Amino acid sequence: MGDAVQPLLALSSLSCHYGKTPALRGVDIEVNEGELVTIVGANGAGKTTLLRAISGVLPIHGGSITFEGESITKMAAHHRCEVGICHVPEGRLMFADLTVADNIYLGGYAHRRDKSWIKKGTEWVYELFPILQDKAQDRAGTLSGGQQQMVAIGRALMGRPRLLLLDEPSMGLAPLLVADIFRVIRQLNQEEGLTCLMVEQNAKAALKIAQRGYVLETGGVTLSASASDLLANEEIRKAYLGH
Amino acid sequence: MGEVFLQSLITGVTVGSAYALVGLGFAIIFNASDVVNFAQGEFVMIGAMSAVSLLAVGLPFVVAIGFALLITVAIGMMLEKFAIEPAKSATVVSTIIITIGASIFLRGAALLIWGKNFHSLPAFSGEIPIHLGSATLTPQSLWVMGVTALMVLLVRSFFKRTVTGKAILACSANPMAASLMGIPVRRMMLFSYGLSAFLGGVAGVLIAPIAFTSYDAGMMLGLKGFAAAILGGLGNPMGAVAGGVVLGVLESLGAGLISSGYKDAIAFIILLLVLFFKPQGLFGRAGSDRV
Repeated sequence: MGDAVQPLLALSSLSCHYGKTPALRGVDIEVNEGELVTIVGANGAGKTTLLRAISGVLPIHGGSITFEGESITKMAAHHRCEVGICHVPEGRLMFADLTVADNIYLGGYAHRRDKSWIKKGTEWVYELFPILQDKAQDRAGTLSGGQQQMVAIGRALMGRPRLLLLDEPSMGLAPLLVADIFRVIRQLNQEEGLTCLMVEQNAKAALKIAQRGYVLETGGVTLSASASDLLANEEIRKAYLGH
Repeated sequence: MGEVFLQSLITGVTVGSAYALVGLGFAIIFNASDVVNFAQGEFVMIGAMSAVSLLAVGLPFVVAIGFALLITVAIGMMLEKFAIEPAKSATVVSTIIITIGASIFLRGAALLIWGKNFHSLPAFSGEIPIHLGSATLTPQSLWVMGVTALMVLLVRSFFKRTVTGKAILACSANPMAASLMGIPVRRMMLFSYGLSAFLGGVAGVLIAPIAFTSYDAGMMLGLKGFAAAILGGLGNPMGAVAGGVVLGVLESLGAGLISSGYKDAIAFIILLLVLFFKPQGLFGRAGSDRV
């Protein structure tokens, strides 16, 4: 990674707090074009806060966010989607009463006037998750957790991401489905060249498909290394990988 | 007996159409934000009173009505912009209280502008009644029913077919997710208030030739519309429409068959019965599943 390469996303001493409780204290993170970067950390370390700050739904209190070399620190959340930051939120956050097709369609809200993209994007999503095509007219709230996660990813892909933020995509899913979801994320990153920043409790599975990782502890980055180094790191194994 | 019944039915559907439009306005804002907007009735009054004033200064009928509706929409949006949005961190209950305050404010402003006199609009297309057996139907009743039906169909297809309609539903389902999808949540809220105000204004203009309007006419209509929305199940737009018509018919049957003194009481007895025995409304849907 030469210094000449400008990172796609750069967070510089980003801080953020809920009331008086600091949630992020001076976080520096970079994500380069084409990478899959994962953030490992315990519950409450600030992982979700970090992603929400990047997509602008949570106000930040210090530091800056640069995307494609331009500061987006002050940009409104709904504009960040337009520049290509698309977020698969924790807990999936379905539009439960709307159909699966409408959920996916609304993911492309920022590009709603680009009919050819809407058509192409929808085909892409159904190709990645064929089951969703069968369920297209069902209310999203009636789907299983795994199918909802597919809708959540599909919805974000409709936003034509330059950077895909994934918040706990495996949360609450059966092991078989987890493998499915990770396979798709890996495919998106390696075959389609999509840049991803993923937060995941299941650190082992995440590090296996990621190139680099950051360890986040009580709102600060304590370690940054390649995914394979983190997988091999004794302390990380003990703390986050369960052995 | 039969003729009283038929006549009550006609009157009931006419008045019920106005309740339906007000109820629809309630449902739209409730859907977008879980807030019951108690200034909804004031939109009806503002629509009617503005039309009366604009007609009095000599504007042609259609132009006067067009501007009256514009004024109503503007006031609806201003309500959102200057009273609801600044309190965005307030709870739903506080926001509802803000709308009650806004309704009192709007009524007071109307009193200052228009005074205490009753006003009326001329009928849209003459007063020659149509005879249906022993009952009569005024042309204005047809206008009320026809325009209401048209509005209901338009609103329905707006939410079912257009991207903006779906985006508003998305904001109500999950504002954060909507925001992550690039949907400007505040602008959608502004739009919802504008749309509700528009429907209220339409109701006001439609019934002003039938019922007199005054600065406080919105209060009773607002409550009836609220009863309609509850009857149909809050948050169910088509339920609110059906609730409005049912309420209008029952009210008018009660007035015709029992005594006209009970007209308003009937609406509120129904409201209470629904709240006691079927709080989700006659056509209410079960809460949405969250897995």
